[in-house]
Order: sequence, then C-alpha cells, then structure tokens
Amino acid sequence: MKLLTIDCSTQVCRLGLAIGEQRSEEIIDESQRHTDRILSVLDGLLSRHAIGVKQLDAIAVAVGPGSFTGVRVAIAVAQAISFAHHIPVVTLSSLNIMAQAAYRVHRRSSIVVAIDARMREVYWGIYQLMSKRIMHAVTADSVTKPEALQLPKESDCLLVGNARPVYFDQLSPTIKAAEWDTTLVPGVEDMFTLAMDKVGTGDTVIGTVLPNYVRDDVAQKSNN
Amino acid sequence: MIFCTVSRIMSCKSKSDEKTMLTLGIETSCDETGIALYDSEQGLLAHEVYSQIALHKDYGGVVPELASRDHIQKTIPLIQQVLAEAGKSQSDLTGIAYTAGPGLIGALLVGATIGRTLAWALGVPAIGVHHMEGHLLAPMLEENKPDFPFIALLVSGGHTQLIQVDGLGQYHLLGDTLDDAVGEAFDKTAKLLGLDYPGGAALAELATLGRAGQYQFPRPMVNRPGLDFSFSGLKTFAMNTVHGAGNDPQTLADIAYAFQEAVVDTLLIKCRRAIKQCKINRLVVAGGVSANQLLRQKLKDYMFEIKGEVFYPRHEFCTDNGAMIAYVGHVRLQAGQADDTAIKARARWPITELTPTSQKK
Repeated sequence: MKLLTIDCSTQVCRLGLAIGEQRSEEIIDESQRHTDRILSVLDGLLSRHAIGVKQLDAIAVAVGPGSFTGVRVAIAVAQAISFAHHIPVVTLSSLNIMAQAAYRVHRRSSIVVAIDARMREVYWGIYQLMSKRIMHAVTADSVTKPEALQLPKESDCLLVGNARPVYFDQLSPTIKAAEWDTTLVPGVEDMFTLAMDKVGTGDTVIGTVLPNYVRDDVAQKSNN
Repeated sequence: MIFCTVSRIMSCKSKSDEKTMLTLGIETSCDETGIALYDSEQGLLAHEVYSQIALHKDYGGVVPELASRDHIQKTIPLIQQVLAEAGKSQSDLTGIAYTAGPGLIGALLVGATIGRTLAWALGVPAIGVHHMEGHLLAPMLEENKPDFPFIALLVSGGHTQLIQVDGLGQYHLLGDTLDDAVGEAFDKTAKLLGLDYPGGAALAELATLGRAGQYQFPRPMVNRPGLDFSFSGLKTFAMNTVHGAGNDPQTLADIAYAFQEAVVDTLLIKCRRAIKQCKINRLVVAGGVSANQLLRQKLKDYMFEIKGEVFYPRHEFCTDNGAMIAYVGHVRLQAGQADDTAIKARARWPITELTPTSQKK
C-alpha cells in the first residue's frame, strides 16, 4: 500500500507518504507560501522513495473545517493527481484527524475537538472510539459560538484544540473546568490510520473531492 | 483498404515528426470557469465556460469566497467534459496553461493549483498565463488575425487600457483608467437604472429604446492630453441624472442611451488619438465590453474611414474563457517557455512585466 496524505487546513502544510510499514513526513511551515513549495516537496518525497506519482494506491486529504484557501489547495492537488492517474482519494475531516491524534496520545475514547474558527466562533466535533481503534464522529462537525458549547451528557470526555485559550472568557464554567489538551498537534500518522481504514472499506472517490467548510454563511445578500 | 493503411502511416509519421502539441487551458480568475483544448495542428478543439453569474446575482457583485468555492467544484468536471468533446484523454496532453493573474487570488489559486499539479502529475510542462494577455490575443483564435504591431483596446469589468502590441510579450501601456473600469461603470450605472446584476449588457439593450439628444453626458478626460481614462465622474453624473428623473421607462432608456453614447465616444476619441500617436492603423478590441454593438460599429466606421482594420474576438471569447488561455499558453510553451513547480497566482500583475517568448524570465 502506497498512500500519500495532504493536510493544508492549518497554518502548516503536512505531507505524508506511507509505503508498507515505512513512514515519511514533510512540513511546509507558515514562513513559506505553501503553493510555492508543495509540488517540489511532493516531488522530493516521492523521489526519495523511488516511486512515481502514478504508483500511488490512494491519496488522503484533509477537507476541513479549517483555512478555506488551505483546504482548497490541498483538495485541488488531490483532485489533479487523482484525475491524472485515476487514483482513489480518501476524504478526512480535520477534526477527525485531531480526535485520532488525541486517542493516539491520551488513549481516551471520548474526544471533543474545539478549534478557533475566527469570527468569534469555534469548529466543534464530538468523536467516539469505535472498532479497530478508529475515532468516528458522533454528530456532524459544526461551527458555533463559544458560549453555546455544551459537553455531551454521559461522557467522561477529553477536549482538544485551541478554543479554550482563545475564547476563555466566553466559555461556560463546565467547559472551562473540563479536561483539556490545548497544545495537541496532529501528525501524519493520524491521517495514515484513518485513511487505511477508509481504503479498506472502499470509502474513496476519484477526481471530484469536495471541501467541508462547515461555515457556509460567508456573504450577505444585498437588499435590492 | 491499402490506401487507408498508407494514409494512416503517413499521418502517424507526420504527427511524430512535427510533435503535435495539445495544450489544456484553465481560466478561473473571476466568476467564470473556462476550459479549452488547443491543438498545434488543428487549433481550438473544444472549449467550455461555466458562468457563476446566477450565484453572485443576489449579492449585487462577485463574492470572492463563493467564486473560489464554485471553481473547486467545476474545474475537474469541465476538464473531463472538454476532453470528452475532443475525443482526447488526459494522457494526450502535452502542456497545461492556467491563468496566473491578475484576478481574485482565491479563485486564481484553484485553477492554478489544479493546472500546475495536473502538469506535474502527467510529467508535462506548465505555464502561468497573464489573463489580459489572453484577452489581448483572443482575436488570434479567429481566421482573420491581426499582424503585429497593433493597438489594443482592452475593455472589461476590471480593465480599461490602451496597449501598443509590437509582438508576443512586447506590450507598451499607452493609457489606463485612473479609477473605475469601463465595464464597472456600465454595471454600476445599470444598477442605478434598476437593471439586474451584471447589467452592462442590459443597459446597452435598454439604450436601443432611448432617444438621442434627451440627455447630455460629459466625455471625461477628452480635453486633456494623453490616453488615460476616468469613468467615476460619469458614474456620479449618471447617479445625479437618475435621481432627478423619476421612473418613467422612456426616461430611463434615454439616460441609458446618453450614458452609452458618452462612454463609446470617449473610448473612440482615445483610440483615435492612440492610432495617430503610434502611426499604427490596426486596432484590436477585446474584453467583455468589446461585445458592445455601438462600440463595435463606431470603431468599425472610424477604421474604415482611415483605411485601417479592426479585429474582435468572436462574441463568446469577449468574456472570460479558457480558449484564450490555452492559445497563449500554447504559443509560449511552443517557444520553449515553461515554469518551475511553484504554483503561480498573482492578484496584481502589470501586463508590461511580460517578456517576449525568446527571453525567459
């Protein structure tokens, strides 16, 4: 199995390549324009493992929520490679990747992801460990006001993401008092884990991969 | 049967000798997804444009984020459609041209990323094309093409420029707008007249019902030397005229008539001045506003009078399209120009920064 992963939904762009048990990762940080470097970094990644792009078995891409432009860049790269060589694409929620990272680091089965969505809102996702050690969304990823956040009732969950420091004053006392990891950083291994599972179940598409922006009210209609 | 075989062999041989090039063009700089295929032997093979006008209508103008969201959904399916129409597959492509600017950065990035990545994945060269160079050379897609040098009037919703074109990539900016672009003035005045966005073409339609001499609009900048334009004053004049005029349909048509007449006159006066100044009597008119019938007629009459020639792209290539990008990309790729793997997208990019094909940047 040769799997390429692409995630540009945050300030850093993460590229990963898994070939059998071998794992490689490349990061383009915020000091560089992702679009200037992404293809040369991909080229280097594939060349180091002596494989051509058409030999890839699948591409996994983070489809959001996150930076609108970043998500589109990652998806455009995945779409083009997929279209060029009929390579299947696996789409992954950025929040699911975070939840998988939280499971990897903390071994907790109930995870709530809460990330700053700017504009005084938070991207919010509730995840639960299912079979094969895979985190699944309990409800659809959403965007909401920080003061409206509520924890799932029954669970003894861990919250992850930067929403706590960013919106501390707006959060309810229960949310503030909950257990948080605000510095968790997902790695390409989390994408590998989720993607391998989806490839296994045939949950893939070719060509037209679409973003999941979550935030859709991006413009106001004029009155006339 | 024998004849068929021979002719097939011959055609194969001639193809491999001449290295037929097939260039894909991708345009996503604003609110139209345009895709085309240009073949070095047969010219334009297929092209499609998907317009987002309906999407932006309720907002009274192009919403950049919505434009980008639409491009990412439409680009690959449209490429698939154009390849199918031409009976080609992605593996037949020998080069990819995409619009690298100027335009809306988020919208540009979608086409640029798809185009540059597709070229990389297929192992073929790519080139980022200047959107206005596409418009400038769109008449080259017609049978009756202009020879160099010529004067070009680029008139669209984003541009109003007079350019002396001495050859591919040899552009001298003669005049530019100091404020609004002419297409923008058309659309904004159309809105004042109660016409739906984008109302430029509807304004021209309404003007056909208007009467001459009912209103007199100024001809901005014509009494000043030079070839620059200014349309914001005309727009303000239109606003004041409309506000004092009431809603009578004939009055609105008369205002549309006077507005269009003033704009076309102004463009004509500046073109005349440029032609005299440069002593070049070939004129190319391109960009969305070049579809305006009154402008076409007036320029045609004038060029006939001075025994010059005027060239336009066909109607569908006046607005944004992939064909002009495929053509410019084809010419530059054929001359050996090609970009590195960086995905190029520039919101602003002066056309005078372009270089002839012999000088690589």
